[in-house]
Amino acid sequence: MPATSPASRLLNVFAAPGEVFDEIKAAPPSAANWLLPAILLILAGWISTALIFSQPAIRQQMIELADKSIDLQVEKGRISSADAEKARPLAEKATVIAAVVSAVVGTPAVAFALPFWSGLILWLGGKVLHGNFSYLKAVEVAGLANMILVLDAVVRTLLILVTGNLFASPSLALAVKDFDPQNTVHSLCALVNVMLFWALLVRSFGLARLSNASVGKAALWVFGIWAAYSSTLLGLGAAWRAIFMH
Amino acid sequence: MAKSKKGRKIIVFSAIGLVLVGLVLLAIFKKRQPVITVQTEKVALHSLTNIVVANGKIQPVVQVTISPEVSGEIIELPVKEGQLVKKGDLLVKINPDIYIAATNQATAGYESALAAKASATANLEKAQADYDRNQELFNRKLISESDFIGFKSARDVAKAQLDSADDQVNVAKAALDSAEEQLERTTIVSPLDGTISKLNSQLGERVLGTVQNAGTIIMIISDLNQMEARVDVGEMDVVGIKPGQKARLEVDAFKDRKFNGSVTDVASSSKDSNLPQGYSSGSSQSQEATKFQVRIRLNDQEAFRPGMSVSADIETSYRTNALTVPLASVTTRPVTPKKLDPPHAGGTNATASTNIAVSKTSGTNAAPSGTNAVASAAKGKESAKPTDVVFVIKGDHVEAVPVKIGICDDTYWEITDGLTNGEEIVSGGYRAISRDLQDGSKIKKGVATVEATKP
Repeated sequence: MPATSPASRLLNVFAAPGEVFDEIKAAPPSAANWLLPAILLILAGWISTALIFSQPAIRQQMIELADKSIDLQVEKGRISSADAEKARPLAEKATVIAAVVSAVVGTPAVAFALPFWSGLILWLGGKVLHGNFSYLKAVEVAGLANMILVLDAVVRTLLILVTGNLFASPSLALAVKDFDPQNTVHSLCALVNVMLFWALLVRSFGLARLSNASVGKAALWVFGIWAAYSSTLLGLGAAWRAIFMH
Repeated sequence: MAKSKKGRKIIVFSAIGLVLVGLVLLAIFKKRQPVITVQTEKVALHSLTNIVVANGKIQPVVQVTISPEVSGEIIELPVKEGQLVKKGDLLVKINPDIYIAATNQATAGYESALAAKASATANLEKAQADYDRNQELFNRKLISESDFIGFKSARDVAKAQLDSADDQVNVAKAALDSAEEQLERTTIVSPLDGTISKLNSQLGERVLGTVQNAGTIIMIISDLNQMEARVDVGEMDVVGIKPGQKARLEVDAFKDRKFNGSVTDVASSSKDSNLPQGYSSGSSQSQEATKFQVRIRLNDQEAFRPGMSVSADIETSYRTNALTVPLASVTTRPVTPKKLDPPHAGGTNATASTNIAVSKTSGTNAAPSGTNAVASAAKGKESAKPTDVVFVIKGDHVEAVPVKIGICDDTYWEITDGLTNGEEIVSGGYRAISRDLQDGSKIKKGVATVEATKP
């Protein structure tokens, strides 16, 4: 099988992931397989941030979120109304700045951490499925699978721009009116994300190829870990709100 | 096999491409406008009582400042602060020694003048007798005219001396009366039934009389049976306050109780206007709002003390079934008179119609906050005038409707023109109404928050 270029691998992972992962399995380790998707993810994240936060509608939503959290503090008697009025302009500015800064700084961190974290899950999955491949191979597969997340970032940005909703995504959340990130049901809807499932499916293909296991078993592992991980995060969030908000 | 793979790739990439192109086109051509979360209410009929709130102090209606008219040392002070006194009770006695001496001196002077007058009277009688006797001799031409004139002159001189002595008696009598008056003033008695509400001096203290200066304020006597609130009202509100209006008063010392009162007096000049023109005790004074003192007689009897802090709600006007909106709903935006429509030019309605001049800018930076927003928006638009407006819900948008407001109470504004009963209007949040909302802004209805209820 002739070796393809990195660009071909990045594109083919959308349409023929099995082919790409067969090639990865046979080829010597290459950092480009996870580094290029990470860089693309960073660029997509930054451009997305710039586009989203240039929208007055989105900034308005950020401000309303800040106001809402201050109102909550007032209702709970943690701060006085007078203090709240003083804090409001600061909180509004701080929320927008924090969101932009976290997007600018957080995106590279996530982009570089994600292939290694997902690679670890795949590598552990390989152990469970009696596969024999190195951790770096798993990182390459996970990195290439992240190309789906690059597309997700693009689609998500366009959806936000179209709907004017900060929480728009290619998920069931699109059907939720007045999405509230603190609502567990709304958060569950946001998890039912087409692009995310696609990425998980591509990772499952990668794990199946690397460990010579069936796609079903690999998908069971990948989706199972994702479900457990997401449930834990949702549960922690709900517990946090139950303890500190109510 | 290769063909099917190639076909699959074409399908996948075409699908992705189509989705992306579609979204991009939508994103480019969709009109994006911030959606502002607001709370709404309906325009409704309510009864309104316009209240002017003012703060001040409780003071007695009758309050007398006791200052001595003569200077000296206090040798008797038989009262203490808080003591009840009756009219005529001794309050203060000032050392009378020098005034007794002065009285004695004046008495001696008076008596001396009386003696001088008696002497002058005797002299006049003798001169008159000489004159009468010599006039007869002169008529018979037994004495010369020169001698007769001498007797006549002597009589006139004696008469003048008697007049002078008489005047001296009057002068001495006046001096005696004055000295006795001064002596009497060393004893100060209460001019009214009341309570010593303030006692500034003590036994042995030297006090100054008020004859030529302000004098020492020894004490203040108040009639605590009749108390009033003296509150300061701003110049904008004072015009609506008239004697006889009812007031509800809260005295800090009597928590959770409200007292009834009625306005008895409204100052005709501001507190600052009592100062001489050009006088200023400091820069801060000139920055203070102009205040007028309003007196409110308390109808309820309670153990009030002078100086207690009081807050008064003065009911200046009342409306029944007035068209009302929440206080928070009324805000200010620059409004320009609408350009006259040629077919209706000159018509009375054409000049009355208005148009919101604020450009429909979006985003949080579009409209600066508070009154500055009004000022900056009006800048450069000569005809734009800050006008009271209410945002009326029109589907998913709002329309800024100029209104005329009447009176208000704690909750509502009276709307005299611009709205009709039952119209849905924006009642919150505060930020949305004061800053974000413009004519035509897109809105969505949200739940009421703490901030939304702020007037």
